[in-house]
Amino acid sequence: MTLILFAMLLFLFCINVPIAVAVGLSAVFAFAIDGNMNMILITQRLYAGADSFPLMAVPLFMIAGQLMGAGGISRRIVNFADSLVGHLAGGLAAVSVVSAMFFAGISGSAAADTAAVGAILIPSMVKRGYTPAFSGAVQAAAGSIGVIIPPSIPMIIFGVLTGVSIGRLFAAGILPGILMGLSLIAVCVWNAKINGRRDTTRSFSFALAAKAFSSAIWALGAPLIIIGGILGGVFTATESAAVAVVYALLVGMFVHREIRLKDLPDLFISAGITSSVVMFIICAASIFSWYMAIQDIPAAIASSILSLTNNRILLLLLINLLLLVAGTILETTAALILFVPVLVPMLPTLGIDPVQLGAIVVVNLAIGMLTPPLGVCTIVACSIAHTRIGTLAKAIVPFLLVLLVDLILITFWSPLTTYLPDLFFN
Amino acid sequence: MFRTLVSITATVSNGLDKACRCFVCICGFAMALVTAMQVFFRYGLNNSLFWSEELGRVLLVQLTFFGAAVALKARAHIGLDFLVRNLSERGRKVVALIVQVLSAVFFIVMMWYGAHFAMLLSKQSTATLGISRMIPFLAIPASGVIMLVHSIARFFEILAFSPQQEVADCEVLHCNGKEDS
Repeated sequence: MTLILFAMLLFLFCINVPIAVAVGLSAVFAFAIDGNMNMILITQRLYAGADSFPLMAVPLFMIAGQLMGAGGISRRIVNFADSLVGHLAGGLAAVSVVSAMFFAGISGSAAADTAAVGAILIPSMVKRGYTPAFSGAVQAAAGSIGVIIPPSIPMIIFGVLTGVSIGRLFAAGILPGILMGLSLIAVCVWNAKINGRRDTTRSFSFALAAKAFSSAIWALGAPLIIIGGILGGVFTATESAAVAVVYALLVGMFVHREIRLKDLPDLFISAGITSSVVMFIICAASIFSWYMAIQDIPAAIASSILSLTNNRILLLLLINLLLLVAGTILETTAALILFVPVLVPMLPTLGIDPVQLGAIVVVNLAIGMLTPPLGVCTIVACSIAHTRIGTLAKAIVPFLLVLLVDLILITFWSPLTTYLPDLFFN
Repeated sequence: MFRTLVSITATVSNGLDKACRCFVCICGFAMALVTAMQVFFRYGLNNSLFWSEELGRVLLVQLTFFGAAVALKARAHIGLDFLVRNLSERGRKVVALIVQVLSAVFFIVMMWYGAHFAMLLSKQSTATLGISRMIPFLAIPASGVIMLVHSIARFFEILAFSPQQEVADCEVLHCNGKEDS
């Protein structure tokens, strides 16, 4: 029975049925074959999948990101990042990483992060003589940090699935996100050193940095409100997203004056479409996961994995491997809903904090966003850089390798993920 | 005869899409407003709103399903196209037709059983807004109908013309940053 369900799902994926429809449809077939299930339950689960207060943060963060992109916030962030690291060897590549890190503090989606920063920096990197493949690869890898540094949509979904506090999960992402950013910058500098390139002859100037900072002050206020508000316990993740929308709207319309009233409908619709894509998968997958849960499938899979080994180091490696492979072909949301219920029963054996598990899962899936066939960051970066996925995939290998090293650190060195949540919430 | 059928379904599908776009825009705006008001009332007026959370969730459901219909029309839903891409032109056309038929099955389930469940809910009312629970639930059957229409229109479109390379995935994600370029 379970086998038919998964075979059906695989078949539908292969012929390019949209993921949400494929997941929902295989549940419909399972219900039809089962015979004891009323199809009405499908529609009920579909509704229940979206009927959640924490999930409201998904479209709200998408809207906020959209408004900040249009309101000139991303451009000011790029200028500020340029004043900080632009003087390094391989400076422009480092600028794209630092900008993506700041933008990650505003946006909860890696694809949005890649698109917002990449639209500005990929063309200028190509203009300064970087290959399109390398420019796209830097941006895709940096964009994946968008889901590690809070806010983060996959972390919200992980929190909804497990009941772990979303604020704690957000706090757990901060240090790993900074670690990943720094290691990507190291690759950029190393790449420039071996190619003997310098993007600029100027050195670091404090006056320039101060000027860029003051023009970016409203832009930098956004991550401060979002992250500070959640960590300080002022509001929930969902509320912080709504406040971010209002903030972005006010700054974009009245401070920077770059959003006009007539631009608003298109911005809201565009954010609505991207969030519905994620939400529809959540809803369809909630039918699927509910069906699996009543058949006790996640627990069965968990116990068969545990019967292989009880060694926590081997188990953690196994989980990482599983998630990395899954991340290459599964969309992030679908992967979360399918795998998290399997991983949670293993927590006692793993002996790690649930927020660390959350960070491990999300970092794995973030790396999965870089790997074809289904890597959203590479797809977005390719379309901006006008290059082929195959060429970009080769250029991204060094970045992938350092991210894997970071992943090992995040998996086996718990303070990286648990120090900040304990500091803020205990 | 066939031509008129193609153009009628296309017209209906386009009209529904326009209405859905307006509705999604309103839902997104209202959701941000209601949730921001919740914060403002709690800190500014020291008086928590009791209905804002439920209204927000209702709006989220509407945005999800009508937005899914807009995304379907815009071909923004993510799929795995790397196997299909290697097929011949004719093969791609056949597979694309099968995909529309299979998708339609799911939309029919949403429409038919969603309508049944909505009827069951008509007598119950929600916790804080006090409206019939049927009203928010209608999003499921209604979006099912709309997506069914989009699927049928797309089916005829593929049948009448040759399938184009599906690049819509990247396009929609891309437009997040377009304003800056």
